Amino acid sequence: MSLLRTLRFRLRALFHRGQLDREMDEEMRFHLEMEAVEHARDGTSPDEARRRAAVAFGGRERIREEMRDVRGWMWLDSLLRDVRQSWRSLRRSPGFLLTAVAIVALGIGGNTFVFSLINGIFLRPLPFPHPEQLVDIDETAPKWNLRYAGIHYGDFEAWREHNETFSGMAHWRADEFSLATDDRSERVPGQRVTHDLADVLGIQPVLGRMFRADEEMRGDAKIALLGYHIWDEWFGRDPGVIGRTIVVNAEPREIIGVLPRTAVFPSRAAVWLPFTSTPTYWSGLAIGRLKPGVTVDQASADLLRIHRARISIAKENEITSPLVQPVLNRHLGEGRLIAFVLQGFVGILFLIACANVAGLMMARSLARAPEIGMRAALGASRLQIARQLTIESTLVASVGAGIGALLGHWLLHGWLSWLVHALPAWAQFSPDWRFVLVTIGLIMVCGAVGGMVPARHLLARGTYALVPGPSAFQATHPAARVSSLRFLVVGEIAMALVLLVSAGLLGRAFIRVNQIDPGFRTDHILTYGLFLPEARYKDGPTQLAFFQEHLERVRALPDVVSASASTVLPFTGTHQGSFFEPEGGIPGGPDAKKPVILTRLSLPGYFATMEIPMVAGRDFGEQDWHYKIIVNETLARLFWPGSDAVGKRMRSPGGNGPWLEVIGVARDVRHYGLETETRPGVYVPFVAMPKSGIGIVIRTKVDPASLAPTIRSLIRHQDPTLPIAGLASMEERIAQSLFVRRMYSGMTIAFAAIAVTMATAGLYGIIAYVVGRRAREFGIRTALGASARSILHLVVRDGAVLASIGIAAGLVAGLLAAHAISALLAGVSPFDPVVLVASCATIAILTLLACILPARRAMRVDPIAALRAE
Amino acid sequence: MLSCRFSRRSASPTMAKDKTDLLQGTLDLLILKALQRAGSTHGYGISVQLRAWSKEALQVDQGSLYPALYRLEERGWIDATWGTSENNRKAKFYTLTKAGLKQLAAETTNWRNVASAINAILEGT
Repeated sequence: MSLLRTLRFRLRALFHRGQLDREMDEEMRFHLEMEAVEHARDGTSPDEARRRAAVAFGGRERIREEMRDVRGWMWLDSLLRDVRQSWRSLRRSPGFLLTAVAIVALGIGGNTFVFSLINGIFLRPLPFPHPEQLVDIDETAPKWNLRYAGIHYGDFEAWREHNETFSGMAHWRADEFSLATDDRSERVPGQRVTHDLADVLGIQPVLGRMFRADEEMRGDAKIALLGYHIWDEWFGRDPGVIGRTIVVNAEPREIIGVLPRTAVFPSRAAVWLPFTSTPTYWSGLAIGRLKPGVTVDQASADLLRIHRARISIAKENEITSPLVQPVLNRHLGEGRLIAFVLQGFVGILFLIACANVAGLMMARSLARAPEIGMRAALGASRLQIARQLTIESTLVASVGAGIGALLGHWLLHGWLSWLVHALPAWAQFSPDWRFVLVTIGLIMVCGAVGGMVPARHLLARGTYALVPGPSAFQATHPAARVSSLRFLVVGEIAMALVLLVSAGLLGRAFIRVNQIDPGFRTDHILTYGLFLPEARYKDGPTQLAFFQEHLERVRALPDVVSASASTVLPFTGTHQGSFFEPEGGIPGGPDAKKPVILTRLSLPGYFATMEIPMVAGRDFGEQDWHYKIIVNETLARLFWPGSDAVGKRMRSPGGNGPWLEVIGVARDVRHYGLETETRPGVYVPFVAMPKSGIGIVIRTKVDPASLAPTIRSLIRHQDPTLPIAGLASMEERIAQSLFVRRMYSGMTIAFAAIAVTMATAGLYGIIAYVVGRRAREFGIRTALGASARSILHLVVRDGAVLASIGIAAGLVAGLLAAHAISALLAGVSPFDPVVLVASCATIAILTLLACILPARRAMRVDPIAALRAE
Repeated sequence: MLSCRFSRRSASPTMAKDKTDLLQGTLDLLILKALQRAGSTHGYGISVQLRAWSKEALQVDQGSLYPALYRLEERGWIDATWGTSENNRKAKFYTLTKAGLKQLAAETTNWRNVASAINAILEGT
């Protein structure tokens, strides 16, 4: 007896049932014939012999059953039989089937859509070997008001050399480059990376090789690695691309390799260039691979030790500290709450769908109570009846889930193309085992709820109560006293209210964020970036001359009101930080925070073009560098609290730089986003330190987008090979910054609307059903003298009681939920009266409607017809 | 004449009990023995032989025989092949395997022990 043999037999019994049945029949037939022959020898006729043999043989069907029993898999046979029977029964009620399937499809469709997103972004591990070992490393400086300060290269070298907890570490910096070949020129995102990045990530170039250590920093080799999508789009996956030249920032570089498809983490870099040091000491990020078994805390402590040991040569290491965290935390931290909210919404939507299905199943099974009772009388146990109901509801749930999954899939792909720039480039959204598991789980929950709730009610008083008979003579039908139905009603009302409150608050928050004043006039502004390659524009004066000429040409255009430029523009995601000290030191003494200051170099007319008002003092008069600067309100409050900043002086820390005099205080501008805090900022005339890259702003008379072609030809005229970066209107940029918020606010409102509709429909269905079943009771009441109005009151009062309980429960739950999401509410209070009152009122009105319509039918019940009907 | 019917212990509690219920293990023992004595036979042959050797005392119910044969085959104590019978009909022939032979010896010993134990009880007054 071996396990293998048993397994083989069992599998054969499962998959070759037909053949086994035929063999069994063959054997039986043979046996029967032999018996017939024997009986014939006794002298009986062949027919009589056969009949005797058959009798002696016994019930063939019973033997067949015995055989099948031995074979095993009886439970599967009976399950399949039940499923076929349920399917037949469901097909006979197409109305029920379609309604139930539609409800489940909506409930599960929403879930598969949201879960696919969450799975792709948060749950799936990164496509690198042992992704759990990858950590993000940065430096944090709370005293400078910087959570992520960037990494000093000297610190990085020290960490890399002296650590004991990492198997590899790499440093990289994101940047934008002007990429050009003979026929194409574009500004693309790219990265400067140290040679070990490929090793740390665990990837290999699909063509060519990775950088070597001697090619970075001072080596500054003129080579590049192409991103896979660039190789695909620009070179058509030509394997001969190695060795060819590509022009990066007007500098030719040799292509030495192509990156694999998975190298889109942390961003979709078009090129990797060897790492070089930058004038700004702290920049970029680092990624490290922990040795097996090492924790993040151990690694943190290890790096801190090395970091502090360098204080003697780098005194800033007292203020900065290494920050180590799992790599996805860095890139996804803020999104988690949003994902949680969305999943919560579709989860509650699913529960409402389940409740509706349970209600439908309950009504259906109550209508079939006589049939079920008959079955009970014939010997079905409670378990078997419950099983049959559960199989029916699971069948409905499966069909609904299939349609729902398709719906979710369709929604996902429709939205992905729209969401693509808000989503991480490395996220994959195809279904995987987690998705399948979750869908199966949802089917099982829906099936269980849809089957158990009616079963529990039907069987509460034993199977005997189902047999048709006595209940027909009861004045009040059992359906009216169904506590499960009441529970469903209250539950649906409460859940719908929770969603309505939450969605309402999020909607209100979105409106509020939209109304935040960015600090300048946002309409009719066109923005774009120009980045002059240093190979052709070698020094400050050349760069300045180019920009000045460009602005003159722009100002000459008829539709332009004014034009100017600045090195960092609001809502572009750019930042340039420096440190300054006011004369007399920062208030608060030497231990006070020394926050980083946003430093903008602007050309003349910047404030006028942007329409940023001056709170005190004046705009720049001339553009010569007279060491005069303008600060914003936050800086003025920080350095000179309580007094006028105009006329005060400040300079770079260290005591050696020249004093800079404040001539004006500008209104704060929400540079980093409508919801993000403003940093202290300073405006310096561009002539002081000309840079090769600048952001142009143009105030237009007409729609900014209509000016785009003119601008492009203007640039081409001035410098044909210079690409324009990010040509967009300011309003577009602001809308873009609100994109994620708009997306989830919209989604939650859509889910809430669907949920409320479903709950109302479910309510109406349940109440109408109960009223219908109580027709007899109403008939009796009317016959006994009750007025039509009192019947109406009866129904409405019952409904109102349930609604009140539901609303109360929903309100409490809703407030708790609102508190949980308060981080997303942008200052809107969870107790916001407008939202709360409106939500409760909406639910109350809908519930009232759901009660009144059936109640009016109840009023018109003819007592004689009702009494006779049963 | 003693007429015993071998029947499986039924799972359903509502099925009536038979006149003489012999455990299915005993049936297995008899089938294995029959195959050892008669060599390769079909199901009908086994039932005929058992009737003959017991001098008409034991009649194996077909509802017990064939399920038992399937079970024995599944456990690897007998092998089954399709062949032609003496009157040229297609039939399934069973033979004892080596493992089956060992099982037969074990079950025979077991039966003897049980039988002598029961005898010992019945001998006493």
